[in-house]
Amino acid sequence: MANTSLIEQEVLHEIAMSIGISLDLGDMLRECLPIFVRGLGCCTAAVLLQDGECGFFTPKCILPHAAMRNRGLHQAMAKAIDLHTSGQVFAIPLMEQAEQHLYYAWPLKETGILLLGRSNAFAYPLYMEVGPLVDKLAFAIQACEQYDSLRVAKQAMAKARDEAESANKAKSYFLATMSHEIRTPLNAVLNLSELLAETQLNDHQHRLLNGICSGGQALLQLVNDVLDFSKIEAGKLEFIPEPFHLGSLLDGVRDLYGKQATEKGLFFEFKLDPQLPDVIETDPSRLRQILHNLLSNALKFTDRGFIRVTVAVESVAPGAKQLRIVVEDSGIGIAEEHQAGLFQEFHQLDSGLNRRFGGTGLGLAIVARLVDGMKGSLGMSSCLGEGSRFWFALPVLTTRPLTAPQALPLPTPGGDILLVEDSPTNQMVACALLEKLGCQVTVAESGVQAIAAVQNKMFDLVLMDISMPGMDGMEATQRIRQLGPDYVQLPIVAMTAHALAQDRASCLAAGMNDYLSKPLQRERLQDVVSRWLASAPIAVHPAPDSAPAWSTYPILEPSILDALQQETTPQVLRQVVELFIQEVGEHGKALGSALSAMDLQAAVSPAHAIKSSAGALGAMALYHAASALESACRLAHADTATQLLRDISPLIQQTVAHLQQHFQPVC
Amino acid sequence: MQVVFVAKDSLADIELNLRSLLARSDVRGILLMVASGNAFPASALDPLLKHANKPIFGGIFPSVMWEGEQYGTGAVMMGLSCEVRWAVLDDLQQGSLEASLQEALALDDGARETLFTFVDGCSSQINKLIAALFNQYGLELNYIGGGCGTASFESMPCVITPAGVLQDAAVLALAGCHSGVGVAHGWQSISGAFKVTEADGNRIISLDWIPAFEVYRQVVESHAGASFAGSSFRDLAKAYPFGIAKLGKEMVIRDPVQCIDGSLLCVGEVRRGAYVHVMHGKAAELIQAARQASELALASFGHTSPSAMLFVNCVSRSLFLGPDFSQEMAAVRQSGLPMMGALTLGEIANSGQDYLELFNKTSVVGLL
Repeated sequence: MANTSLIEQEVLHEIAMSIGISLDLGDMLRECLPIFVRGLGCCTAAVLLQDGECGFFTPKCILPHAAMRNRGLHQAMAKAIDLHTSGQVFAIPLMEQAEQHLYYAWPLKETGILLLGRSNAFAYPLYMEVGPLVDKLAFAIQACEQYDSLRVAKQAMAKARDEAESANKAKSYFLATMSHEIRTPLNAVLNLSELLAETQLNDHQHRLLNGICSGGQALLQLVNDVLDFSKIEAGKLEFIPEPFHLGSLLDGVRDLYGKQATEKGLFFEFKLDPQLPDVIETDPSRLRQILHNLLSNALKFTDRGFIRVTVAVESVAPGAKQLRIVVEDSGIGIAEEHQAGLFQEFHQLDSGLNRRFGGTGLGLAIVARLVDGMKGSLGMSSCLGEGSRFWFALPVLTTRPLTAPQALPLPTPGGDILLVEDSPTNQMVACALLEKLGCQVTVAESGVQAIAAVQNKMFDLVLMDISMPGMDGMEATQRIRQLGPDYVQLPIVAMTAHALAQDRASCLAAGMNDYLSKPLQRERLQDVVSRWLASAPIAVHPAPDSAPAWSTYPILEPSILDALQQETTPQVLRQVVELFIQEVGEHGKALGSALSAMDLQAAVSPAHAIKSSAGALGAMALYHAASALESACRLAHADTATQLLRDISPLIQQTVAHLQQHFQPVC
Repeated sequence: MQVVFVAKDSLADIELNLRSLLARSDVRGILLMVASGNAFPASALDPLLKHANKPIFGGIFPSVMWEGEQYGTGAVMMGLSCEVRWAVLDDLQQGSLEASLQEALALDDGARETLFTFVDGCSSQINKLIAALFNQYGLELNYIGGGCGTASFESMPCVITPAGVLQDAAVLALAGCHSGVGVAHGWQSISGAFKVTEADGNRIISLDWIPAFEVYRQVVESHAGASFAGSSFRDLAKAYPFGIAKLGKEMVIRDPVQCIDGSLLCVGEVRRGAYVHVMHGKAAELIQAARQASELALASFGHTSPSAMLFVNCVSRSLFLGPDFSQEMAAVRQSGLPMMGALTLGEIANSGQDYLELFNKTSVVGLL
C-alpha cells in the first residue's frame, strides 16, 4: 500500500504543474481544472472571474459544462459571490452543502473565485494544502489577463499605427496633388515670362520680368521639393537605372552651378578622377537631383571661398563599383549639435537661419531618401564657421557600354501639329512654345475634337493630353489608330502629369509613340517635337509609288560617326560594328526568305531590327529604307514592300562596305 | 427487465430471441452483448438491427457472462421496459463531439436516469468521447458501459447500433430506468511514484526521463522474479498495471498492453505530468474489490430492489485471475438477481460522484 501522504504530494504536485501551461486563459483552465477535479477526488469545478470595472462575477470555466444546470452549484456560487463582494470575512475555504454535494470556495486573490464540488468532505487538513494551488491558479489567471490586455493593446497600437500611416499617405497624396496643381500654373507663368523676355522690352520692364522669373523659379523649386518628398512618402517615387554618359551629366551640373558660383564670387571646382568611366548605369535624373540639392545648399550657405565637387568611381568588391561624389564648401558650416537630424525632413538649423536663407527644410531629407532608394550611402562632416563636406556613394554598373548614340541628328522643327489639351493655360503655353519652334498649331479641346481634326487634316504630330473630361487621351488615341492605315503610324505623343513608369507604359500600350511630362519644359518639348517631326515624313506619308525616299540619305552620317568615336572606346566601337554586321546579315537573310515567300508580316520584325541598328550607327540610308519597309509591310502595301525588299539587300552590302572602310583602323 | 441468455453459437437463435423480445409490448429497447467467438460474422446481425422497430444497442466482446459463468460464444440480452433514446457517433475523429451529442441526444426532460455507453475499444478517440460525455451530461445520471472488441485488440466492427455493427464508433442509449453503479479494482501499488515525463495519448514514452519500459521492467521483473525476455509481454504485464494517483479513491488503472520501442502502449490516456505507480494484485484482493463494487452498486441503487445485474469486467482482469475469475463472478452476484455481463476493453462507469474516466482492469457492477 502506497503511503497516503506521498500520494497526496504527488497529486498536489501534478495539479501545481498543470497550472499556467498556457497564456490563453481558456486553454489554461481547460488544461488544469480536470487535473484539480480528478486528482482531488471532486466531481465538479468552477472558476468565476470578476470584471475589474463593474465588479460582476461571470463563470469563466465550469467542469463539467452540464453542471451549469446544477442548482446546488448555483447556490454555492451565489453565496460565495455575496460574501466576496460584501467584504465579509468568510472561512477559507467556504463550505456549502447543496443537493447531495459539498462545495468548497476559495478566493482567487482579486481576480475571482474557485469552487470545487465533492460528494463527501475533504479530509482535514487536505483542503488547507489546496490553498497554495489556488494562489498559483490566481497568479496564472492574472498572467493570462495581463497577457490578454497586452495583446489587445498591441492590436490597438497596430491599428492606430496603420491608421496613422494611412493618414500620412493620404496627406502625402494630397500634398503631391496640390503641389502638382500649383506647379502647372506656375510653370505657365515661368514659360510665358521667358517668352515675354524675348520680346522688345525696356530696361525697367526687363528688371521687373527678371524679378518675376527669379521669384517664380524659387517658388517652383520649393514646390518641386514638396512634390518629391510627398512622392517619396507616398511610396510613389521610382528609380529607373539606365546607362548614360557620366561626363555629360556632370558637365550640365557644372555649367549651371559654376555660373551662379562665379556670379557670387566663389571659386568653383570640379575634380574628376582620370579613371572615371565614360558610361555608368544608375538613375541619371535622381543623381542629378541629388547633386542639385547638395550644390544648392552649398551655394546658399557659402558667401566666400570655394565650392568643390570631387567625383570618383571605386571598386568595393569584385565586380561591384560605386560612384562616390563629395561636395565641399567653405560656407557657414553646421554646429555639431545640429548635425544629427540634418537628413530628417523639415530640418532647419534655426529660425534665424531659416529667415535668412529660406527653404522648405526638405532638400537634405530628399537627398537621404533618394540615396537610400538607390541602395547607396551618404554622410557629412562640418565645422561651424569653416564649411561643410557632404558625400554620397551609389552602386553603379560600369561594364555595359552604350550601344546607340544618344540621339539622331535633329532637323529644325517646324511642322503641322495638333495640340489636344483642355486647359486654356496649358494651351497658351504650349502654343507659344511650339510657335516659337516654328510649328503651326491646331488646338483641339477634347478627344472627340481630336478625332474630327485628324480626319480633316493630316498632321505631322499630335500632342495628346491624357486627362480630359469626356473622352480621355488614351481612348482618343486608340480610336485614331482605328481610323485606317494612314493613322497607324501618325506620331502621337502623350502629355502626362503623372510621369510614373506604369503611366508611361499605359500610354505606349494605348498606341502612343512617346510621352512628355507636364508641366511642359521648353527644352524637352523641343527635343521630342524635333525627334518626331524628323521621322514623320516616312511614317505618316508613305509614298507607295514614288521613288525610294531612302536614296536621298547618306549611306553613313558623318556627325553620328564622329560622336560615336568620341563617346566610346575603340574596343567598344569595334564590338558594336562587328555586332551590327553580324546582325544585319542575319536579318537580311530573313528578309530574303520573306521576299521569296511573299510573306510581308514575316518581314516586319527583321526590318524593324535593321532600322534600329542602322540608326544607332548612323547608317541613314539603310535606316530610312528599313523604316519604309517596316511601314509598308505593316500596312500591307505589297508593291512598295516588294520593291523595298529587293532594294534593301544591296543596300545592306553597301552599308557594310562603307562601315568597314570607315572603321578600318578599329575593325 | 427481461434478461435472456443464448448459449448456442447460432445467429438464428440470437435473432429468434431478439425477435421475441422485440415483440413484447413491455420492451422498449434491447441491450445486446455478443461473444466474439461466434462463428457468424458480425455483419450478419445488420439486417435485424437496422429494421428493428425498437433500438438494439451494445457490442461484441471477448466473452459474455451469464449467471456466474463466462462464455466465449453466444449472447446475452436485456429487454428494457423504460423509455430509451439513443445516438450513434460513427465518426469519433470529428472536431466537436460535445456539439454532436447536444444535437443527437440532448439531456432534456425525457428519459435521463442511466446512460449506456459502448465504444470501439480500439478507437484512439475514447478519451475525447469520455470528456465530451462528462461535459454534456455531467453528474445527473449514471454511466455504465465499456470498450467493445476482441481480446487480441484486433480492429473490427464491434459496436452494435441501430445502424448496424460499426467500427471506430460509439453507441449511447439514454434510458429512463433507475440504476445503481459500483466501481472497484483491488490493485495495490508495489512501487514508488514515477512521473510521466513524456507521453503521447495512450503511449507512455518516458518515466522520470528514462524510457518507460526500462523503469517498468525493473520493477516488474524484481517483483515477479521473472523476466520479460523469457515470456511474452502481456503474460507478465497482465499482473502489473499502472495506477494514476488520486486522492481518497482507488487509483485509476492503466493497462499496458504493448511495448513499442521502449514506450508502453496503454488502454486509455496517460497525461504528461501525472504520477504513476506500478500496481499488483492478489486474487483474493481483486475478488474482494469486485464484491465491494457490487455492494456499492446496491447502496447507490437506494430505495427499491433491482431486477437485474449488469456486470462489466475487464478482459485482462479475467486473464489475470484465470480459474479464480469464477470466484469473482460469484462474489458480485446478489441473491435472486439475474446477472448478465461481458468482458470489456476498458470500462466506463460513474454514479454522479466522480470525474468520469475510462477504467482498466476494473469491476463495474450496474444494478437495474
